[in-house]
Amino acid sequence: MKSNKFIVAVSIFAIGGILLGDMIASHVFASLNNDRPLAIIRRYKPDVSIKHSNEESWKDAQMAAPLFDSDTLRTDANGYAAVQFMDNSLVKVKPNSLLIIRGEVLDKNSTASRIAVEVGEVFMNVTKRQSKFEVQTPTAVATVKGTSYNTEVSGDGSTIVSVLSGSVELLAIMSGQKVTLTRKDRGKVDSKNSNLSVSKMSDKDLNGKENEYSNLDSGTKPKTIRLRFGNNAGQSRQVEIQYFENE
Amino acid sequence: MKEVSRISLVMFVLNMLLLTNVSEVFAQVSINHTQPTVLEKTNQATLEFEILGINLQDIQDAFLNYRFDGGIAYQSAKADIERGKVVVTFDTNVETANQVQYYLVVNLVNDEKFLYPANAESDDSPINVTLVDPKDVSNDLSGSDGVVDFTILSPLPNEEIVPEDALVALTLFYNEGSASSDSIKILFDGVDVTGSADVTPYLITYVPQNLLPGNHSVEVTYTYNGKSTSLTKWDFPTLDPNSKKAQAKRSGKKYAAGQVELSARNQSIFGTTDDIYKSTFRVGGSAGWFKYNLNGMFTSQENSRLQPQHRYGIEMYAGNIFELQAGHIFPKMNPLMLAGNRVYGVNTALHLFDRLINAQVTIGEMRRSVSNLYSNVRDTSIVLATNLDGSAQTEDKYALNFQNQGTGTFRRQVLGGRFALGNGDVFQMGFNAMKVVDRESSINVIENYDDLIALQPELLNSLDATQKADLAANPDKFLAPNSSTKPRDNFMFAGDLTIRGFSGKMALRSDYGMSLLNNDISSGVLNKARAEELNLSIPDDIANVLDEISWLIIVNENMSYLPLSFTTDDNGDTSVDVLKTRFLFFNDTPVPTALMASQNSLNLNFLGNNFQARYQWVGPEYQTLANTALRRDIAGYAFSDRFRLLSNTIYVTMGFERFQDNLIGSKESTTQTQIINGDVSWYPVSKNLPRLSVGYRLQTRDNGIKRLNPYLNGDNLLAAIRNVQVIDGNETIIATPRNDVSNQITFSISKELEFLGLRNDFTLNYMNLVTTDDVYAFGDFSSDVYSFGIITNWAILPMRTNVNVTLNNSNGSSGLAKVDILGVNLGASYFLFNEKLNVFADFALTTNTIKTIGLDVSDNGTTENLLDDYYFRDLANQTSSDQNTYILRGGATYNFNEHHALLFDASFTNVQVNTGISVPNDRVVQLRYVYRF
Repeated sequence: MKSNKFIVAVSIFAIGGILLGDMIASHVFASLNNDRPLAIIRRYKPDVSIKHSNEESWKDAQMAAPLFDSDTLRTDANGYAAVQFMDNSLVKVKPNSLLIIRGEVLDKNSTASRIAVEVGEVFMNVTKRQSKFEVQTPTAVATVKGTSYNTEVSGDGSTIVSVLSGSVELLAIMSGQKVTLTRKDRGKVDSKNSNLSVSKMSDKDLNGKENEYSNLDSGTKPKTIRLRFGNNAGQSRQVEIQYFENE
Repeated sequence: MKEVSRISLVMFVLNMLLLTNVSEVFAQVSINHTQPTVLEKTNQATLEFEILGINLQDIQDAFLNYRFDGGIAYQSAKADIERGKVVVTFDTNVETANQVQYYLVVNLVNDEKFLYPANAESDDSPINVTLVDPKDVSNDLSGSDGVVDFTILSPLPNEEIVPEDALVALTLFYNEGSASSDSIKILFDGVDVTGSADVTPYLITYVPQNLLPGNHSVEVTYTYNGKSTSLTKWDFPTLDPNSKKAQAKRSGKKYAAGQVELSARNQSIFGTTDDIYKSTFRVGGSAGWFKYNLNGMFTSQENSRLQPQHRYGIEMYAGNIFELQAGHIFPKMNPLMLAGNRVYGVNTALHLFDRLINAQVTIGEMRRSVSNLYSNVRDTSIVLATNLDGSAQTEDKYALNFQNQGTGTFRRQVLGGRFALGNGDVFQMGFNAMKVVDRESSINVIENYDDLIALQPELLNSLDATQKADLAANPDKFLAPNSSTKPRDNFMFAGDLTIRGFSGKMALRSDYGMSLLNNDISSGVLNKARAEELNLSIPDDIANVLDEISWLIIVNENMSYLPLSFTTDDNGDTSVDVLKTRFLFFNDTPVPTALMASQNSLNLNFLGNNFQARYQWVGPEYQTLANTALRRDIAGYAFSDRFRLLSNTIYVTMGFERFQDNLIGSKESTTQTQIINGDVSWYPVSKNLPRLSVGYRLQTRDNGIKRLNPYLNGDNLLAAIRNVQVIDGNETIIATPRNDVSNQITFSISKELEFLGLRNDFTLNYMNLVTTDDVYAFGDFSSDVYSFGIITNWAILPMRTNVNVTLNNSNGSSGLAKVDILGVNLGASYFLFNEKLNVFADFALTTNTIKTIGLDVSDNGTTENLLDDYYFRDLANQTSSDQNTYILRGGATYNFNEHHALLFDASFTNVQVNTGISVPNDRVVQLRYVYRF
C-alpha cells in the first residue's frame, strides 16, 4: 500500500513537473519566438484589427505592421488584408474572417506556419521554398508546399478548399479521411459527420475566385480628398484625407 | 544622268532620311528608338519610340507589327501616346519563340504613313531582338554575407509598382552579438532614411513617399567589427502614375474606370495655320464574369475625303464563353488572312464546353467610300499619229478629269468566319473563310458618256450648245479619266492545326490557305457574251458555274491569276487548258500552287535546347486584302536552336535559312537566298553587371545568272547596261544577274551606372552592314549606325534627364551616294510641388549631309549598237546638300489631384537647308484637360 501511494505521488509530481516544464519552456520559447515576427500586413482595407497574444485589446491594422506567433487577425464586413510571411508566402483574408497565426521562423529559408481559420475565407499563395504551411479549420487541416489555394470556413465549421495551382493534402479531422487535391479540385469537409468529398471547379469558378481577390486588392489603395479651409484674413490651409471606398 | 541606275538614288537618299513623303522633304521627320538589348517573355513587353518633326496629335494611329522567329505574317499591337512618346505594349510570352522581329507603323490624319525602320516592309528588315525568360527572382530574395542572412519581402527585385503601393520590407537572421542591431541602416536611392523607417533587430520596413517614376534602389548596411558593411542592394522600377500600366494596376477590376481627355491645338505647319480640337475617352470595368471596354476619339479633323478620323469602339466579354467587339476594332483570325488590321464593324466569338468548340464571325468595312470629284468636261484633242513631215494627226475629244486630289475609293467590306475544335492547350483545328470586296455602287464612277448623263450631267455646263450636241451624237468622243482605283474582290480560305505535347515542350503548328483575287470587277462575271468580245469561247456549264459562285468571288478576265493556259490555233480559235505545276513531290499537277500559302513549324524544348524547324511556301499570287504585311513568292525552310548556359544567364541562338522566289517560273530567273545567323546574349541576374548582346548575320543572294557581254570586259563588264549572251551565234539579252553577300554585325550593351551619386541607365548600340555585289559595279553598300542613350535620375533633385545620340554613316551604290546623319536629343523632366507639377523640355538636333555622284551612260564609241553601252561615274555631276533641323519642345503637366490634370505643350521646328530655299518654321501649341476616374 505504501509503495503504491509512493508510486502515485511520484507519478503525479513527474507529470506535474513535465507539464510545468513544458509550460515554462513554451513560454520561454514563445517569448523568444515572439521577438521575431512571422508576417507583416502588406496591404489592407479597413476595418482590419489585430490582437497580439500578450495583449487584451484589438488594434487597427497598419501597413507593414508585424504579426507574431499566436496573434489574431480579424476583418469586418468591408475589411480585407494581404499578409506576407517571412518566406514570401502571401495570405489574402476576405471580409468577415478571423484567423490566428502560429509558427516559427527557423532560418532565412525555412519557416513553419500554421493559420487557424476560425471563420471566413482566405486565399494562400505559398512559395516553393523549404517551408511547411498548414491551414487548420474546425473540421480540417490542409498541408501545402508550393501552391495557391483558397480555404472557406462557414459558420457551422464546414470547410471548402479550392486549389488553383500545385497540390494540397486535405485531412478531415474527425473522420481521419485524407485526400490530395490538385489544380481545379475542390474538397469539402462537412461539419456534421466530417465526410470528405471532392469535386471539380470550372474555369468560370476559377476566374471568379481570382477576380474576387483582384477586386479586393485594388480596393486597398486609398483615395485622397483635399479640403481647403480659409478664414476672413485670407489665410488658407489644406487638409488631405485618405479614404477607402466600400462597394 | 540619261538612265535610271539600278538602285534609284533618290529613293535611297529619302529612305536614309527616314522620310516617306517627297513633297515634305524639308519637314524633317525622325523616329528615335533605343532597341532593347534583350526582351523578356512577358504579356506586357513595352517599347518606346520618340517621333520628332510631326505633332503627336496628327497621328491617326500607330501600330507595332511584330512576328516571332521570322514567321510568315506579322501581328499588330496598337500603340498609345504617353508623355510625348509613342508607347506600345505587346505580348512576347510565347513559350517556343527565341526572337521577335518588329517595326513601327505611324499613320497620320492626312493618310501619310511612316515606318521605323523605313525599309522594314520593302526589304523585310525589321528590328530583331532576342527573347529571354523572365528572371526567376525567387532565389535572389534571400542571401547572406556570411554574418547576416536576409530575405527581401517587398518590393521584389525589378518588380514594377505604382507609387502608392510602395513598401520596402526586409527580414534579417543573425546570431545575437554577431552584428549590432543599432547599426542597421537603410538607404533609399542613396539617401539614409533609417530615421523614417521602422528598424528592429529582425525586420526593417519603410514606406517611401512621393516616388518619382523610374528606377529606385534600396541598400541595407550594418556595422561589423567597426566597419560599415553593405548587406544587400536591389532595384525596382516605379511606373509613371499617368501611364496605362499604372492605371491598370490601380483600377484592378472595378465596375468602371477610365479617363476622358479634351484638347485644343493651334499649329502652323509649313505655312498653314490650323486650329484643331479633339476629345478622347476610355472606360472599362467588370462585374463578376462580365467585362467591358469603351473607347472613342472625336476630332475636328474629320473629313469626308479621308478615312474616318473619329474612332470609337466597345468590347464586351462574358467569362470565357462569349465576346463581342464593335466599332473600330482590330480582329484577328488565321495569320494568313486577318491579323489585327482595322475594321469598322463587329467581331463576335462563342466558346463552348471549356473552349472545345469555338466560332467567330467578323463583319464590317476596312475602308469607307470616298466619292470621286470631277472637274467640268473640256474639249481637247489627242494625237493619233505623226506624219512624215512632222505634223500630227489629231482628233477632237471631250475629256473629263478629276479635281486636284479628287480621286475616290470604294467602300471595302469584309465578312469572315472561323470555326475551331479544341482549345489549343493540346489540340486545335481551325477552319477559316473570308471575303473582302469593294462595293462598286458605293461611289460615282463615270466611265462613259451614258454614266456622265446618268450621274452628273451638270459637268457638261462648261460646253456650249454645239459641243453638247456633237458629244450627244458622238458619244465615242467622250474621254473618261483613267482611274487607277478599280473595285476588287478577294476570297480566301485557310485551315490551321495546332498540336502540343509533353507539357508544352513539343508544339506543331500548320497553317494552309488559298486565295483568289480579282483586280477589277466592274465588268461583272465573265459570261458567254463577254468571252466572245475577248475572242474566247466558254461552255455553258462553265458560264453557269461562274455565275453561281459569283457570291463567293467574281471571276472574269481581271483575275490576278488564273491557273489556265490559253492556246490560239491557226484558225484563230482559242482553247483553254488547266495549268500544270509542281506540288510537293509531284510534277504536272493541276493544283494551283501560285494561289496557295502554307507555314509549318515544329518546336521542341528538351535538354535545355529550344529547337525550331519551319517550312513555308507563299505563292506569288496569294494575296489577301485584309493583311498586306504578307511576303509573297517565297518558299524555303529554316532551322534554329537556342540553348542557355551559366544558370540561364547566357542565351545562344544559331539559325540557318534557305529560301527562293519564282515559285511558278513566272520570272526570268530564280533567286536563292541563304542566311546564317548567330546571336549571343548575356542577361545576368545581378544588376551590377551589364546586359550584352552580340549578333552576326551572313546573307547570300544568287540567281545563278552570270554577268555576260561579248563587247565588254573588266570593270566595264560589271557596269554593263544589258546582260548579253551569245546563244547559237545570236546575241540574246538575258536576265539581269544577282549575286551579293551581306555581312552584318550588331552589338548592344546596357547597364545601370552610379556616377557622382547619380543613377544612370546607359545603353549603347552598334550595327555594321557591308554588302558586296559581285556582278554589278555600283551595287556595294555599307552602313555604320551608332546609338547611345543615357537616362539619369537625380536623387537629390526631383529631376530626370535623358541624352540620346545617333550617328548613321551610309555609303551606297559603291560610293555614288553618301549619307551622314547625326541626331542629338536632350531632355529633362522636373517635378515640383510634391509631384503635382511636372515641367519638361526636349531639344533635338538632326544634321544630314548627302553627297551624290551621278551615273552617265557611255555608248562605247558605237551609237548604233546599244548592247555595248555601260555606266560610268559622272564626276561632273556631283551634288552636296546639308540640312539641319532643330526642334524645341516644352510643356508642363499639372495634376490637381488623382482625377484631374491639365497639360500644356508647345514645339518649334526650324529647318535650315544650304540650297538657299527658305523653309517656314513650324510651331504647335496645345492644351489638354484629363479627367480620370
